Amino acid sequence: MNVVLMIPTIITAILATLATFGRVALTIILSIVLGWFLGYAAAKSGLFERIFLSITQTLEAVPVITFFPVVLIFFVKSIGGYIGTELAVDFLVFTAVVWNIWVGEYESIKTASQSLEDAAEMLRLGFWGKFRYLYIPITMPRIAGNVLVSFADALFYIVVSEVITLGTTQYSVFGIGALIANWVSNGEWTNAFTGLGVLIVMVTAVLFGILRPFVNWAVKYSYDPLMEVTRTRIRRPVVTSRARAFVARNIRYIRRVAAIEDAVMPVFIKASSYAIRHRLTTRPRPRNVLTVTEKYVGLAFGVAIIAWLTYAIYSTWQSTWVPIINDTYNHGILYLYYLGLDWLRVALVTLTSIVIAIPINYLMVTNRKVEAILLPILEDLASIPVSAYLPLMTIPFVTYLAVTLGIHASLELLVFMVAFLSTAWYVIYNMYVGMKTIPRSLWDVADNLKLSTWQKLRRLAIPGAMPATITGLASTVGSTWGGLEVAEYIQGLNGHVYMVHGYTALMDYYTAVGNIVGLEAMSLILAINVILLSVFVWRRLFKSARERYRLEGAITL
Amino acid sequence: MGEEVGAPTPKLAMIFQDFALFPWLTALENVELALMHRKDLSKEVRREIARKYLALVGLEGFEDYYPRELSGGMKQRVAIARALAAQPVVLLMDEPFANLDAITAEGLRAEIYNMVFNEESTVKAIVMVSHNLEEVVELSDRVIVLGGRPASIIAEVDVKLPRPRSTRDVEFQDYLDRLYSLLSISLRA
Repeated sequence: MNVVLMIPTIITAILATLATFGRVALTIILSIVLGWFLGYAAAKSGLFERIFLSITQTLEAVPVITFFPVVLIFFVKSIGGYIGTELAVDFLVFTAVVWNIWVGEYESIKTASQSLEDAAEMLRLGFWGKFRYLYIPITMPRIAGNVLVSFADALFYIVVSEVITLGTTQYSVFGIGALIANWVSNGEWTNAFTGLGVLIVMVTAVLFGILRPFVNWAVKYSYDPLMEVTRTRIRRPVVTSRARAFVARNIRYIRRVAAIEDAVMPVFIKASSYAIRHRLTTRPRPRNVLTVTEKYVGLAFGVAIIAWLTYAIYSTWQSTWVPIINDTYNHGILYLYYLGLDWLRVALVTLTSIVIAIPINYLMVTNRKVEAILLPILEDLASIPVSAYLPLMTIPFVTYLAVTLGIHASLELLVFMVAFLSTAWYVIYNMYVGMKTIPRSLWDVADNLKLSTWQKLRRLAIPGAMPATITGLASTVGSTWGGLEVAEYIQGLNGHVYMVHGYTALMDYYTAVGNIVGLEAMSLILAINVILLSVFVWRRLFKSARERYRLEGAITL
Repeated sequence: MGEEVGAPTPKLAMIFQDFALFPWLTALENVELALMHRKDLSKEVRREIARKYLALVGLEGFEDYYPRELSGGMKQRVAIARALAAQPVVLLMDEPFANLDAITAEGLRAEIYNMVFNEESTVKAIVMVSHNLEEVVELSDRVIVLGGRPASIIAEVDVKLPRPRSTRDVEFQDYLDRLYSLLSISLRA
């Protein structure tokens, strides 16, 4: 194909990417604006705080995409048409990005400095004045800390959800994800690769043209002295002592080197390290006390919800619940087995990511050159959604590798790779923030005691990085589930469907064949699983990470 | 006057130990904030008044600096300008010099009296809380010593020294000794 013929393709791809980015921007902005009011309400009212926290803490760790079929059926059936599909897609992305942002906003408002609040009160700023001059600015650093992850998450989910097959009908909206999937299934390879190229270029442009400046601007507004910590650098002399002595005589040169260093120190790391540290270290104020009125309102609210649920279940008992129970009774063991298989995959991917992240981060943290080269690349890679290049990535796994490895092993490998690529960046990233913010003095002590590399890893780098890694775990596991969802059941070349044994694969299969009852049963099991996990695993893990971090006294300012 | 204070009122302004400056606003904007509730003033007038108060505390030329770009003493000056701009009758100060280094605190102490009590200012009285007895003797006309648990008034001391006061004066040292002994009695009790 010659270049002139490719121009329409490029223009289409650019427009489609713009449409996709538009959706992402809309959902992120909507989340931020809603979050200001909800976060404020939660920070000020005891009752609302309890409701807000239990909902966000549970849903924050939910692999949203697994519920997509149910959401889609709701929107497509009750609204229908292009609008229904569009809303379904937007809603899905909204639920993928919103929790992080909301929790960040709430925590920022909740931990606002008491004297700033007193000052605002004293200056009689009024409700809107307080919002404008205090509560909105105070949330900015945390929003900045989340914005890269939200952007990447949103892109990941939007790209896969732009085309959905439900039964025999295919629903799609105009966007780069739908476009690439379409080109691949028609075998238009040049177009597909061009589309992917356009996406990569535009992601990079947004990253450097919009998000970086935004984060740079927002981070400046941090009230918190913790931000300074990220300036700590671990330095190995990269030049000989004679050269250093020469440099030391030349102050202007040193300043220039320092400026370059500041430029390569990615702003997202600053922002997200602020977010992680804010989360780990700010001593949250106690929850607001419930007033008597709130207690009664809460009680009435609770009773109303239980009554409504009971009625809803009762009225649809025969039509909905009996089939679901029957289905669970008949296939429950299979569902649990598949759920176990998927958790095994998640565990394996997480473990692999952690094991790989350790040496990479150690290298980056102890070697400035490696850091300067790798970090910007990692940032960019993290934002390019796997789901966009999945259709292309699948090809070798269902052709050449399927023949050499056998189709089962080949597909299993593909699932692992995709889930890994959806997760690994975040694990590396979180761990980097943890390792980077270990105080310089501890590294100096380690050098002073002549600890070996292995000892430094074991005694300093790994334990120092773990709290940040663990805190990020809930969302990285969410990303792994996202990866499984897109890779376990794929439509490859010529409309062939490939699937492995797995929970999300079966859900996709049920969606495709229109087995609504089975889908509802599986969604219910997954919902219960997620709630149990949130209550018994994540909250405890965060609490212990938080406490351990404090005990270590690693944060000395 | 003579009424019980139940809510923030324009007649009271407070100066905080940690300055309580809004980090995302410049020095000028921080001072302007005190005038936001005055709907009768146009933006330009507010800005002009804020400029005037910044000049009063000696920060002319630093209007566009953010708090993080100012030293501790300058931050507290901005906070004083903001409090004065609200045109209060009473100024409350919660250990206003506690977060400043010794030399900066000394300089600001020497100046604060003239900053607050001049023909531009509406302030009639200052209530200051402090643990630094030198600062107390230097600035106060009337000292109320609190002690015990729960805290109650142990003693009242009127400081009758001419201004400006010097820490090297014998009388100054006498007041200091008196306050120290009052405090140590309360600690022993």
